[in-house]
Amino acid sequence: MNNSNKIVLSKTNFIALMIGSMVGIGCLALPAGLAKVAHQDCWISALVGGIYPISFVGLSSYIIKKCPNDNILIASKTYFGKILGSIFNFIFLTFLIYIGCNVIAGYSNLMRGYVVGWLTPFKFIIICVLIVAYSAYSGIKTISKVCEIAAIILFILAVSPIQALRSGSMLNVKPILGSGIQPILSGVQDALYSYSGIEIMLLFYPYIKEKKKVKWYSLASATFVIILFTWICFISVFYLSPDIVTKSQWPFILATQSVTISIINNYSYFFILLWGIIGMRCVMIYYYSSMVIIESFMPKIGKKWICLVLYFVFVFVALKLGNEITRRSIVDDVIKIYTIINFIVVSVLCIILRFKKDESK
Amino acid sequence: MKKKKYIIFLVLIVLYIFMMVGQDRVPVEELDIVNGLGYDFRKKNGEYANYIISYSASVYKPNLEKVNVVQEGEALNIGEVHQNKQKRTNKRIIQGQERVIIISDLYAQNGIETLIDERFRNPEFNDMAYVVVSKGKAEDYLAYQKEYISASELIFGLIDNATNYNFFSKDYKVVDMYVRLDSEGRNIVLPNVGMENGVMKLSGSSLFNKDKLVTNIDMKKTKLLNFLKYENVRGIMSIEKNYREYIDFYVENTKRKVTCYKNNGKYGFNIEVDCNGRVNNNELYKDILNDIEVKKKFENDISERVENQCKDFIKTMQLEYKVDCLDLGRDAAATFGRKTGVDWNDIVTEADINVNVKVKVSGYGRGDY
Repeated sequence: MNNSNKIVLSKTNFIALMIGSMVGIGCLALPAGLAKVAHQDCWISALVGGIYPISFVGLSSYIIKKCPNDNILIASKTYFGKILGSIFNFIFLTFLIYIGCNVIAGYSNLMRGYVVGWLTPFKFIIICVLIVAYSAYSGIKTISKVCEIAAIILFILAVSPIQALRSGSMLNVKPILGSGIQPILSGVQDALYSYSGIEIMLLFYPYIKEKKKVKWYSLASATFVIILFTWICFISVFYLSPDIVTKSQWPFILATQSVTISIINNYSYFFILLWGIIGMRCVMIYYYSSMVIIESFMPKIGKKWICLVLYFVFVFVALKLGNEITRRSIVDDVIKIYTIINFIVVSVLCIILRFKKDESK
Repeated sequence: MKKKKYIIFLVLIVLYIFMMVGQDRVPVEELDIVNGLGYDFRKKNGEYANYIISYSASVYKPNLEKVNVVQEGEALNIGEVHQNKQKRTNKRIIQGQERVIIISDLYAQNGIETLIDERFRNPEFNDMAYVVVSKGKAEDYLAYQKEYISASELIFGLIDNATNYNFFSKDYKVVDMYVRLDSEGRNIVLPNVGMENGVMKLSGSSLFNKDKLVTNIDMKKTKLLNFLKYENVRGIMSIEKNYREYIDFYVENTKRKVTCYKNNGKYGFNIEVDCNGRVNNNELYKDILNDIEVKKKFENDISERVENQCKDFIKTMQLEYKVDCLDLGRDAAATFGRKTGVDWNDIVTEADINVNVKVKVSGYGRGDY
């Protein structure tokens, strides 16, 4: 990262980037998964699941304090040793590629389910990844600007089903805490993984000038996402009732059908198309981060070639993930493993840093 | 810089061609644009034999004239029907513009889950279409034409504007079916169309238990059902002594509140309906405009009368229909907990149900003649 000193991200840039890394396509389907176990209380599960991003921010702020100028890649190499550090970095790389492809495949399934049923996934994915690769090639500043726009769109889209408050009923959410502590806790387990993606902050914090504030910026974006996910779960159950939420593959989109705007005939199409920007910028972040990691492995190759190779990797993996049901059945387990590994690596790094300090004294 | 522009332009063109390869474009004259669907069954020897699905489609002629065409297909299952329909159509069938879905009562008796599942999966379908139950063959209703372009438009309008009277709500869309079918403590209620002397009109409601039709009820009972079931609905209540002396009260706004309780293992429900409205015509209560006592007497009289009617309706519901068409189970599930394995239909059938109607007169029109 030679140019890390030149590029500086502003406050809003960084917050938008963090939000972008967490909110992709998964949250549209989040209520369906949670309502299977936690029924009408799935929004409580989503809320409690927010422990993960907050504790992750807590851990990483410790790392940021200790090594403020180099990112996680350099830090893990210096503290874990070259071989072990490289292995961890490689795992992180595969994680990023994996969730990136996952979002693309998910979005293509969504689009083909609602809007462009006549396009083959091959065509759709090729073009999507092309857009992503192009913008990722133009660098972090561009991406963060896209993120800012997308954050505004996200806010508007997320708030728009507020009309469902009128046609839904509180009866669907009652009795609160009625499904029991055990189901809610197992719902929390699932909800934890929906927040994965915040790990990106360890790559980007060197771009921020004031290192002390990184913690607060990330916390702000984490809180925003927690509130967003809770809201998505709540409004879906509120509008659809817990029994129906589990029937749809994307319950939140069913909830947007409550929205009636004059002139716009069917708001769902509008919603899905705009959500594309949100999904794409999410992949952009992952794409760019993967480029950064590969560059740290092989600095001589040059950005152009990395970008090109990654393009084929992304298209290939995204196509392999296949239709929505098989995708989800694979993804759920894999993301769990990755998230646990990430969390363990970061906590071990924290412990090592802690003991280093003691030695120096 | 100039070079870059050309490259971007070229890439866009290539992408466009790439997207369009394999997509055949068809002019509008060669399309059947479906605007209504009819679901029916054919019985053979008293047993359910074949699905019949008819569709009404708008067809544009080369001279820009719009005509309506009704066709039907028949087969052992729904997918096959769609396949068979194409056999006798010389145009491509396009979905997504549906206004209504008509279900015949024969189909509804067998269960509408097959239909709901098929529609729920379909990515091209417009699920804001209205659903109605028809008495008799669904195809006849789609083929009905009297000074309207298509029967689908007519039925769409019938339901869309029914909200002005008879306390109808607008919750009869396909989305509402999705929401109600498997939801705990809720049952589907659909409007019902029938032919009377060759004229098609709304003739009442159809009550469902799970996905099966229980019974069709007439307009008089539908009015009470709607009054008890929905919120923010409009309709006329009246008291009449004879054909000269009567009063009509137009309810403009209702508020419904259900409370439930459990006494020694027996469930009980209180339905409170507050309604606001204006007097439309009055030949019964003298001096209602100036005398508060008369106004209060009227409010008491009419609320008592409506209460009695509602109680009668609930009695028939409990004894005859044996289905919880008022969605009381929904409130009960919210109070006593979900997924406990009880059938709310059974519980509501045996519960004590109390109705409390409060009437408030908010207007008398321009004057009293």
